[in-house]
Amino acid sequence: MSWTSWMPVLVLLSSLVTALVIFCLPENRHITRGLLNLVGAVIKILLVGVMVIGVEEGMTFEARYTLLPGVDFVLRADGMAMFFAGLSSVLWLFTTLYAIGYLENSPNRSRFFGFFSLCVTSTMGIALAGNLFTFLLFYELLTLSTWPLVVHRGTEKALAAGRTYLMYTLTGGAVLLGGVLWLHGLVGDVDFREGGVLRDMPLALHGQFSLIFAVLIVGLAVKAAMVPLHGWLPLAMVAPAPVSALLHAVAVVKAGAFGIIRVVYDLYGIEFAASLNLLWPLGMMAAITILYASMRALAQSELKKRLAYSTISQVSYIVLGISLFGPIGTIGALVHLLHQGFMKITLFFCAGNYAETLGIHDIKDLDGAGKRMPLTSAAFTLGAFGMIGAPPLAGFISKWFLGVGAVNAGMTWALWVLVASSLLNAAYFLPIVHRLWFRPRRAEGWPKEQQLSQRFETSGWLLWPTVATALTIIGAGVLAGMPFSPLSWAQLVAAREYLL
Amino acid sequence: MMSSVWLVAGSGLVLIGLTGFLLTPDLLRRLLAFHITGSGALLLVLALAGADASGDKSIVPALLVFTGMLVGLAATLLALWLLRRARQLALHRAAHTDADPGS
Amino acid sequence: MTGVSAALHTPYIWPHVWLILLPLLAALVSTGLNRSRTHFPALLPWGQGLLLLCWNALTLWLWLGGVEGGVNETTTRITFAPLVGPTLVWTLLTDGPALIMALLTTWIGTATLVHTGLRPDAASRPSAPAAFWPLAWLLMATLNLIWLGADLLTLYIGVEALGLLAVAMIGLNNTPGAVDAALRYLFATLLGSLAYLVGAGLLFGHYGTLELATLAGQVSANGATAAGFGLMLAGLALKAAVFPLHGWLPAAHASALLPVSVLHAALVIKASVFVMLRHWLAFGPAFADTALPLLVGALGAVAILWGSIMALQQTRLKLLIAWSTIAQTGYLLVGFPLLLQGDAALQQLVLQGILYQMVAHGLAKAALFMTAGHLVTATGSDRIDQLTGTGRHLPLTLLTLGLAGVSLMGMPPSAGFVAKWLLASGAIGSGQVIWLVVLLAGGLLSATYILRLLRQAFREGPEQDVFQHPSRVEKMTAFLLALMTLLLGLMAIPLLSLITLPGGGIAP
Repeated sequence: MSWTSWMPVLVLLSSLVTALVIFCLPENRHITRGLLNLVGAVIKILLVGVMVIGVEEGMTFEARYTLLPGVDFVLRADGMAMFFAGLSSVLWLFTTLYAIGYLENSPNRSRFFGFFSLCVTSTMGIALAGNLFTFLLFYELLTLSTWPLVVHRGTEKALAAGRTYLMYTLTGGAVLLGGVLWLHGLVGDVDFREGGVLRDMPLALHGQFSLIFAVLIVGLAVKAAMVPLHGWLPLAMVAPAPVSALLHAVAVVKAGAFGIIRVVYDLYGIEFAASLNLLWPLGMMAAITILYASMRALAQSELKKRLAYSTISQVSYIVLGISLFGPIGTIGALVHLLHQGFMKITLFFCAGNYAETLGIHDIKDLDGAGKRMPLTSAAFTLGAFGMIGAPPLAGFISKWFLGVGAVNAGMTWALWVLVASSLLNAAYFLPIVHRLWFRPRRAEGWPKEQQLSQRFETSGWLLWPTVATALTIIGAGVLAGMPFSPLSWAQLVAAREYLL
Repeated sequence: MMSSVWLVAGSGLVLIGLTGFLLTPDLLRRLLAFHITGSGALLLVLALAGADASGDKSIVPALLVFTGMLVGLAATLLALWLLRRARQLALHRAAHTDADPGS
Repeated sequence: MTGVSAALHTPYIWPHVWLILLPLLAALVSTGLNRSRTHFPALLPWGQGLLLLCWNALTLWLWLGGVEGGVNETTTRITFAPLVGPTLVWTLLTDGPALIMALLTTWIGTATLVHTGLRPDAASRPSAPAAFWPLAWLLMATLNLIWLGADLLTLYIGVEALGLLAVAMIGLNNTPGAVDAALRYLFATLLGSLAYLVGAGLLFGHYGTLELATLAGQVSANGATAAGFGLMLAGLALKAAVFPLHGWLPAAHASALLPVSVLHAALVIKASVFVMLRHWLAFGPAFADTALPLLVGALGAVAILWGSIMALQQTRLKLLIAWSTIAQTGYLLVGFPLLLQGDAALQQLVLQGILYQMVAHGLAKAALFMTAGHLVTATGSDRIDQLTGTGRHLPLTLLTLGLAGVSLMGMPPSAGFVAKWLLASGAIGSGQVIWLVVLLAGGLLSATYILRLLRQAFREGPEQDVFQHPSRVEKMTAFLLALMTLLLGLMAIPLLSLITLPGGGIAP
């Protein structure tokens, strides 16, 4: 094995080894555990950074190993993989920092951080999976490693949510397995390839390909929380805030969305999928999800619940972008995968900060919180405006490319969906921002205030990751034209997908 | 033909044994019923395997039956051991309950 | 002159016979060790440890030697030439399936014996009665006899002796429930053997031979064959607790001593299914066009469904695991109809799947039963609702439970997933999508009862650790078994490459 094939393996090991060591650590070794986590996260970012540069220069990083007769375990770093891997590795670092602060003085931390690292390993595996089998392997591992995080608190509510979560995701996994097996039975072991691979298969199989597509998408849509398979997500809110942040911004929903991207672009190929008439039903599903979830978000009075419905709607932007045939739509979809991650993780960090510092869970209690926690509230405001799509923030870039893509693809209805959803975004985010800054503080005081820091509004562990991710929202928007920005990387990937 | 006599006798014994086996809940009687079934089954084996297509006298049927008999013996010993243990345990428990009426 | 001469057909004749001889010898030595228990207490653990080491070395050598030399199949013929009467040739066959099962037996046997106690103080604090050791070794010898058996008489002796040994071991527990369950099991296994014996006699009467390989070459679908084959299958199904003949199993598993439950669920049940498989490969093709394959597969599907539903309703830990065994045996049967479909490559895939499922389930179930024992010790109760809080204070035990559970659910990465993948590939390849649905639904059903345990354990209980912890050796053996299900899920080729069908497929 040359060093290029070791790279993807090392990326996985950097968090897998961390997980295993943490599982073995005694509960009270907090500092060692924190250090291990950070070292692992930094190593991962460095490794991913090397691969990003390599992929840009046209190198391939591939590790292959025959797991079963006729089935290979493949890890490969291509442009698409690096997109998701980059997001995961950066956000893992921030979330780890945040989680160390968030879980201070709570029990079962070895278990929590162990599964946390395992969850990141699965996410990286999903990013680097070079064929559908490997993808499935990590997709299921993700289900298993996130369940202990969802039920971490051990309360009845958490356990019930965990049960629903598994009912949805395990069933989705079984459906996906069925689709993978079906496809494997027809064409054998096929690797993901830019531009797709199934187009070259015999014409007689094309009818079955359409059916398999539907099966695969249903299996993936469960994790991507597309209506009507979204029921688990709002319930999973009972998990600790860093978990919600990770589930929403990176791991679970993105795994579903990324899977759809892989299936459409690198398995079927966008042109082939379009020629089979598979894209418009996908687009319709996404449009329904976007509008329905935004409406549901309006009705929520709990902050995390509102954010959850907002996630459901925002992730389907990615799916909508995929369904728009044309490079501009693709860029929109890809870039939103990253931008939504940064924006949503910021919003969840803020929600966690409000809950930890002031005991706020309901939106109505947020009145006047801007003065008490200015930095957190500023971060929240940035995230909210980003979600609405205000220039020059990250969300604007996504929506711009999605909109132009819709027009270019001749799907004007998609443009109207975007407009309507932006209005709805504004309708459920602006009142919160208004409460934060312009309403007086409630007379009865904060629900449960804790003095977490002498100098800052809240503990530094909670505050600085929030501020950092908030800054990336501006950065990704303002610096979109720079090399290695999400946008320019998305353009690179889209160019390779359409073989321009 | 001789073998059909064995066949009828064996089937009859198996039927009688099985009926007894299914009808009685008492374990000792079940053991006896099993023995009748077993004898019938061994007769059946002799009848069926003896009618070798080639007509050669093979010792294989005898081996089968011999093994079956050995197994029956071992099974009987095992069953009797278990039955005795069951009785002992029941007695032990009864003695315990008598001596300690509070429990 | 009376003599026993062994014909050397391959350079490796003795190692294969030693698979049976070594455990037999160990049983004898164990009896001796038990006698010396009072005078030389250290002798028992050391002696057992040495025996286990030899046994592991033997099977490992056979495995690695077999793969390297490309010799996956060895026939051993032992000739008995008595002074009077005809000469008898006794054939033992070590093929891939036999070798895999012998490996599984070694792994699980070793783990169980180590778990039962190789501690220096084992003599003063025995966790099993003295009779356990020789009986366990006899059980291993019998199991190996079954894996290597190539004719109906050997297989009959094997399954019969196995049944009696298993009954005796279940009866070792000093509770009325265990003795009662042992008696019920005895009658079930005896009836099963009788059916098998009559079936064997019938087939001999028709074909004049008991050798499976010869029978497979001559078999045709006529009334006598159907009756004989049917009787043997039914008898074995009763022994393997195949639905609807499973009634004896839950009580037997739940009331036996812990190591006995482990051996029984992981190996003894498998032996009957393995013999079914041997017969299926020989006689099945003649009945491929009848309703028989569908019937067997359907019984497997119902077993998965019913076993899982019953497992979900149990309030006691060991009963839940026992019902899960019934469900998991169903997976093996679902593979049976697939063995008769499609081309040779596909059949080989399915055979690999069935055997891998045996290995996966054996390891996972052994780990699960051991874990159950630990949890019963820890909480002082067999009730599932007493597990509250164990997740926090017994993390390794729960991790073991989780890993074993993942394999039972057939989720990747685990040996159970590999088995499911192979079986499902076979189902898809031969166009029998219904079995695919059964396999996928079965995985979800097993997830429901496994997660019920995990959920209860994750419930937050007492702040302080009030649980009685099992010893480190016990925890680690169970964990290593569970870890093996994970490793075999990541490295499937070394075991799977042992299984190639002779001539690339089943004889037509």
